[in-house]
Amino acid sequence: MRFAYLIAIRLWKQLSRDRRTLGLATVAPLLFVVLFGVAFGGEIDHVPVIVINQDSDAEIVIKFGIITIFEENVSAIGNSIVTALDLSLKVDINQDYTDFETAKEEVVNKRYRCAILIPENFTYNMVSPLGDNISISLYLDNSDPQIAGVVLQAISDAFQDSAGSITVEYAYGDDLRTIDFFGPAIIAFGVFFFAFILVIMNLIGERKTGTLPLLLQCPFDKGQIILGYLFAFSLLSAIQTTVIILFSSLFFGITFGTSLAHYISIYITAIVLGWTGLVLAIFLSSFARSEFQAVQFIPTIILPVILLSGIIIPLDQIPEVIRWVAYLLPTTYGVSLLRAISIEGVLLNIFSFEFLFQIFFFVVFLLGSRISLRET
Amino acid sequence: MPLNDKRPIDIEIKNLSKTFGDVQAVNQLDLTINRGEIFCLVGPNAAGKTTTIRLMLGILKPDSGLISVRGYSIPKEKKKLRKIMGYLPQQRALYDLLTTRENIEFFARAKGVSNKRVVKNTNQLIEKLSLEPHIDKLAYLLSGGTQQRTALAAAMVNEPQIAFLDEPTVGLDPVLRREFWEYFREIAREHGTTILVTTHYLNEAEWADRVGVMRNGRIMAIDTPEKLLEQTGQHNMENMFFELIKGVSA
Repeated sequence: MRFAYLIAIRLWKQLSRDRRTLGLATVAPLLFVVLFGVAFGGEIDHVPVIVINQDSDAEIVIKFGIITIFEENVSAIGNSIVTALDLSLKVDINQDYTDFETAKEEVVNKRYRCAILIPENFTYNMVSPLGDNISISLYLDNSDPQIAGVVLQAISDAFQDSAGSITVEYAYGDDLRTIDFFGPAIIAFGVFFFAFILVIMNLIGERKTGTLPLLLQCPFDKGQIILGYLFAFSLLSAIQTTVIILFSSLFFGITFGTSLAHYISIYITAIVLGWTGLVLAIFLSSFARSEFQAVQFIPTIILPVILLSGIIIPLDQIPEVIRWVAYLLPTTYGVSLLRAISIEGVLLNIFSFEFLFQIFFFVVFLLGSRISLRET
Repeated sequence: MPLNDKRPIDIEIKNLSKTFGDVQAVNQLDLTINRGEIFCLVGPNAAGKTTTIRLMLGILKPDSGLISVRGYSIPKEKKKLRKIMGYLPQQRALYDLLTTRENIEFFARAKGVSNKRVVKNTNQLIEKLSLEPHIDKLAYLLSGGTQQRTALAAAMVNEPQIAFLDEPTVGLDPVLRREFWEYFREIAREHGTTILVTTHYLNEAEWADRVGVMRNGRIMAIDTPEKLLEQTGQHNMENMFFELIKGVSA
């Protein structure tokens, strides 16, 4: 262990003097938080739309002979929809248009995202048993599906609001914002990303300058070199996790846990996830002869991690054909665990499949890198 | 230094061969080096000098042949050898962001030198190799010569019984090269260290106890510098080398 400790101290000494790398390793996770925070924290609202509301109050009288069997005065549902839509703040409504075709032109000209037509007698046809099947017409700019989705959702909500309300109770994630969902994933990504990048570049550099072959000539087992890296980078992972937690809480109000046990669970999960990135980097570093070759591993590893680990795209939405790749990535389980701890408030169960998979991945690549770490 | 033939054999190589693809890097090489001897493997680039050292250290596996270093069969017992040997590779293998002192002390500890001796040995080498003005400078800020002196100190800090020094004087000025050789003589004399040095500076070989002239993976001649000069009727090692290869196809 003496050799491992020596390697860890040496790595920290070097890292503390390499201000650019140290700065990147601590500032870049903040950048991730800001980017995710701004990109996913900001909700889409005030989308410009045109509403042509031709609806009016309905007086429904149904007679059988001289006997009135149904009589009802109903306020225009179209007005309620427009009010609910207006109050949602998701859209900015312009009601100056009267002609639907002109409104559609405005959507084509990109001045508005959607033209909404609530037709004449909408209320009557909805309420009256004799009413026709009539619907609201939309002319929607779907060039940005996210914005279009917000408009559709706002209209649907307004329609439901005007018909009656829905009571929702949350099992988990009461008042959960998008950024709260991404916070734990940023820890997983940041820790894995930096352990992988820094270790692979460091080892390629050591191989090129000849210090690694020289270390391998020292009278210690080479496994201790890997352990030295583990010690040094566990500390880095812990620092990065702290930075992300503090910054996210301070600037985006993300809560990661309610007790010390939650935070300990987060740190253990993050550090173990960092180990998986580290051993993968050590293993792959043996197959790269230069930094240029090592850089080519980055998109090969990091892109699947971003796209397939459930960081951005939920696993359920990933086509089944490539979902198996997701199941092989340690980050998939790291993200899942960190979200469970932060959002669902559970504590880390070291016997859970997610945690055991990460340990399994770590051990496999630890043994792999122990074999692949050679002088030549 | 006169060669003492009674000294035990430290390195013994028999019929050693190594190929890389179509290239025969080392070809049926036989060699013995005695304890406390400074042996110089001299030859042009690509003669097979570095490959021979790497085979002796067990970094490479031979295609055929036997290697024994201090009684250890290499590559099988290479780990035992690591405890008693010093190795200076061709590259100046130093950590850029550690100071001269930190580099030497790091390698001392990495080689298992006891805590008590780490500082003592480091200080001795700093003094012997005139590194005092540079001890607190980061390695990447040092001149090439100082980097090489630091790398040599790092290689010798564990007071090795056998030192493998691969082109230790490459890129150094003549004064520093002479200083390096004086240091090799000093440690061989004082500590009985066996030193294997490779170089492509042919005239440098004059300072060794014995010289092996290497070309195309083979040793063409092996003897003391004086006898090699006498046998070829030349006055310097460079002319001796050209005399030897005269008429031998490349």
